[in-house]
Amino acid sequence: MNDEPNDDALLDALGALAREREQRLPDQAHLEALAAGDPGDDDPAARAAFDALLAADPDAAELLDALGAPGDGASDRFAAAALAAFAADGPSDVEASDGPAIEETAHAPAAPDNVLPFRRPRAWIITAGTLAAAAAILFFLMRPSAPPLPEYTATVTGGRQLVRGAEADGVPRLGPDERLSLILTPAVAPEGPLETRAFVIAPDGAAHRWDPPREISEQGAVRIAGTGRALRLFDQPARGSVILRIFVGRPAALPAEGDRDAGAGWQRFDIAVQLTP
Amino acid sequence: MSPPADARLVEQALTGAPTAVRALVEAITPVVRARVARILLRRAASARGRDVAQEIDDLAQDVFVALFERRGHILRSWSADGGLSLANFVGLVAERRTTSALRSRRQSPWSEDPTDPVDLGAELGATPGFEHRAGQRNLLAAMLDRLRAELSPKGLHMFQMMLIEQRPVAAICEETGMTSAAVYAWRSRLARHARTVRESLLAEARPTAGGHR
Repeated sequence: MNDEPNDDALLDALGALAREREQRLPDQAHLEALAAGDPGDDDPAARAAFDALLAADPDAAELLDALGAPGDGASDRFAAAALAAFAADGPSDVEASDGPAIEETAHAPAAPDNVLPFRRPRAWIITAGTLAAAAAILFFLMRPSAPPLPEYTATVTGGRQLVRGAEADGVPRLGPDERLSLILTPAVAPEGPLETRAFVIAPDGAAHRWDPPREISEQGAVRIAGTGRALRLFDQPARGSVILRIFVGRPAALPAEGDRDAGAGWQRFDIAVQLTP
Repeated sequence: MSPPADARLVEQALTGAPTAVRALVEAITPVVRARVARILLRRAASARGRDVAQEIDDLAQDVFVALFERRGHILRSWSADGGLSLANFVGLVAERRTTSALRSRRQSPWSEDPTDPVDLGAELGATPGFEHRAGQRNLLAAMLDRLRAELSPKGLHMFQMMLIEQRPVAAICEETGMTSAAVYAWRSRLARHARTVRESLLAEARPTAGGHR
């Protein structure tokens, strides 16, 4: 169709398609009730809506069951993710804008790799307490020193997960164009200078110095985010199953070698990823 | 909850106090999970074999991150007297964020009305007939997805009221407190955005469509 539809026709067609889709779905209020633990058995309208949906789409059954049964610890995970996100100051980005301006900017050219958008397709909140359940593998070691550092928590997001099931190993795959975001959030804002040092630990155990772009907020949160290429992960030789090792701590105390596992004035975070060019 | 109670909950959460953040998260979790699930429901048939429970919770968590990141930048933009309830505002943020997340995933099994570039390419031709109509529909479907992913909560709300619910301008003015001129301005803005999206999708489809001809 080379002829341009006029505005009214275009908007009307979009509205009609959206209505057609909406009509196939249960009412939002019914879904919210289900999500809040009310299966809607006492509400004939809700029951009828669900039955109609299931009759039309048997694949919806699993999803509705899942909606009524949030995963163990989901609420804790949501709250931890919210707190970590709140504490991590990021640069302005288009997506976070609000109001009419976003309509004007949504088609701005994609940000260059050194201006990192702040998306989190997936997030794993990792603390010492949730280590066993974490999707990424992390070893957290802290040694008190003077001045003491507050306890840091890592939130790792992005990469590409294999389909869960037999293949799943919980280790995100990361290619040159896929994004990874690592946020280290202190329990309280630390006093004094702060710095990071990073290494990529190759499958053979060799530690390669890694200098990704990183930000440190005034509150002491550390953010390393971007595509695999922007993070310079593919500038170093290691590939396959590697460990991204980040030390955060006092500049003078940070270890010069990547094999240190204990020391004063710093904490260490290890994140397992698969680098897949 | 009442708007004043919602406002207090949000205000307290925006201090960053863990207890207050948790209280708000718990209050809006059903809304967020339900909205995520509703979007996934549109795509359920194409996601056989996925762990949907995990998928809902992962995407819901992503919505909470969006609401709270940058010291609650997006959540801070909600106002109790701005015409949107907290639940509706959060729901719209969830819709936008989830649609965007699904759209950005490569080879997402959750694709809605999967749009084959060849079908989009049919839109480019002037030949009337089934292929042309299928192309138009796929183009509209792709436009709708992208608009849902890109519009602000306010834009989505206006889209919902004006185009999906087809409410009269006077009713929209009454609900939002906007003037009729402001409502018409929103309609123009939505049309402009839709045209931009349409052009962008057609431009993306052109090279592929040419290769199939």
